[in-house]
Amino acid sequence: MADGQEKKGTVTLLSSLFSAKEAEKAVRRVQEAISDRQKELDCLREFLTDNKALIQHVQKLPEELSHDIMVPFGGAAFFPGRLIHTNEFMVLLGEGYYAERSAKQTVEILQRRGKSLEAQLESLKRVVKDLELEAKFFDSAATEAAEGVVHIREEYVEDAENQQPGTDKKNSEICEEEKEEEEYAKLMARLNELEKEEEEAGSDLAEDEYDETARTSDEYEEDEESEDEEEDTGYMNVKAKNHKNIYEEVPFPKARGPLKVQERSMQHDASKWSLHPSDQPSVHSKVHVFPTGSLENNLEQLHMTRNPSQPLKTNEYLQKAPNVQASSESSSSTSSSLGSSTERKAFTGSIIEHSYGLSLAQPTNSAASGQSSRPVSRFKLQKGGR
Amino acid sequence: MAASPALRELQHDLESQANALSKIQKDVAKNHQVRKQYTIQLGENELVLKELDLLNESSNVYKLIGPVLVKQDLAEARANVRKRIEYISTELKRLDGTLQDLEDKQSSKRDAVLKIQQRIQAVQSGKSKS
Repeated sequence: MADGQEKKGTVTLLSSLFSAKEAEKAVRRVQEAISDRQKELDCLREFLTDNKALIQHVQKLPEELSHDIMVPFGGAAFFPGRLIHTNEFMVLLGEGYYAERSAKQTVEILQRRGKSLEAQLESLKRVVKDLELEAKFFDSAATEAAEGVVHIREEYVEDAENQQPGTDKKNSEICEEEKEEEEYAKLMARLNELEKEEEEAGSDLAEDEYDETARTSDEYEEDEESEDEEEDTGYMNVKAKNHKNIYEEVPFPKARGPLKVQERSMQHDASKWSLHPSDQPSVHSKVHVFPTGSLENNLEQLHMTRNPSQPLKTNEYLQKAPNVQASSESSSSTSSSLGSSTERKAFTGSIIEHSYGLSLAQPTNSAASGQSSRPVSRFKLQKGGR
Repeated sequence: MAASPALRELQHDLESQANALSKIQKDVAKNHQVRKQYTIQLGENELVLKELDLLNESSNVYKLIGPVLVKQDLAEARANVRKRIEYISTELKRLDGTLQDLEDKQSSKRDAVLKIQQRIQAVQSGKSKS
């Protein structure tokens, strides 16, 4: 699996480029800077309002010849006094310089001061705005990293896909039939059992599963399956879990005869897959299904098997499935011996990759995949191992 | 574990370099603060000069010296403020120069520290393999 990932390494978690923690730290730092600036802003605003009040006061003073006031005397005492010379002010210019001014002149000085304060206020506001934008960016980056959003490099994907499929095809062509037959034989027995179960319980479950599968938004409809999947474009757009499902499903039925064709389509699709990390569980379940369905039962059976297999299987699959899963998942350990694994590898590898990258994002998938309890748990185990 | 003498030396080096780096960083921070203070004073002085220039020749100007206001000649006050502004701006320029210097030193020190860290890592990984 690891090899497959490396080869196709088109998908990198954002969180691997920079940890969510670091992004959060950056956000916090910017927020601190913003709050500092905000304090300065508040301070400036206070100055401005004080200044305005002072201007009004100064304008009022010379209206009377004298004012009766209480003069502060020491810290706590006042005594009554009279304010005379109401039109003479000593204005502090700054740096210890005072000037004797009339009320009118004082107001002028104060207004000039107010203007400079306003200019400072404006520039500070702009700074705060910049900082807020920065914070927003960091924040979104952090959440993306935390959610497991994936960074995809298309060039790499295409290269990897093209190369791999080409090589795979040759091998796969030779080996396909052999391994398919063997696996199919194994799977067939299981499938039959499963099918029976499905038929029994399938009607309800099948519907459920279909819905879920349908959620996957697919632009690529290859078969009947595609129809189902298409319905739900909105659901996983971001994470595109369903895409995987679709792809997997589509290729599997075909897999039997035209493997090459499928592979190619897969390759093309793969880029899309990479974009949308799909559900791991769904993938597994389908993987299980695919060999049997494609071989024996054709499309109808496939549908049936898929639907019931995931939900119903749990017990039986647990017992029987291990082989199948192992073969399909781990680059077909069993199948590898057969030599036909190459094709599968391509599929599984891609699948695994996606799921791997997606792991963080999966919570949403898990809901859909909940039915296929078995595959999910398996996957988790694998992840944990890594 | 028996760290090879080379490794120990490297670590020693790293420590001393890191210390130097942190010292420089402190200097830079101090410099920034002083610079900030000077810019604030400069702004205030410019404001004062503007106001002084707007005053009539006949108006009285006082300077607060300690607890008392001392009457000053307007022209003298203006000259004083101008001189002060000049002084502050030259001081600012000087600070800019030293700051630039310090930052250069800082980056070079940082590079040195990084290099030493890499070497230590290389030595360690080489050892662990062997």
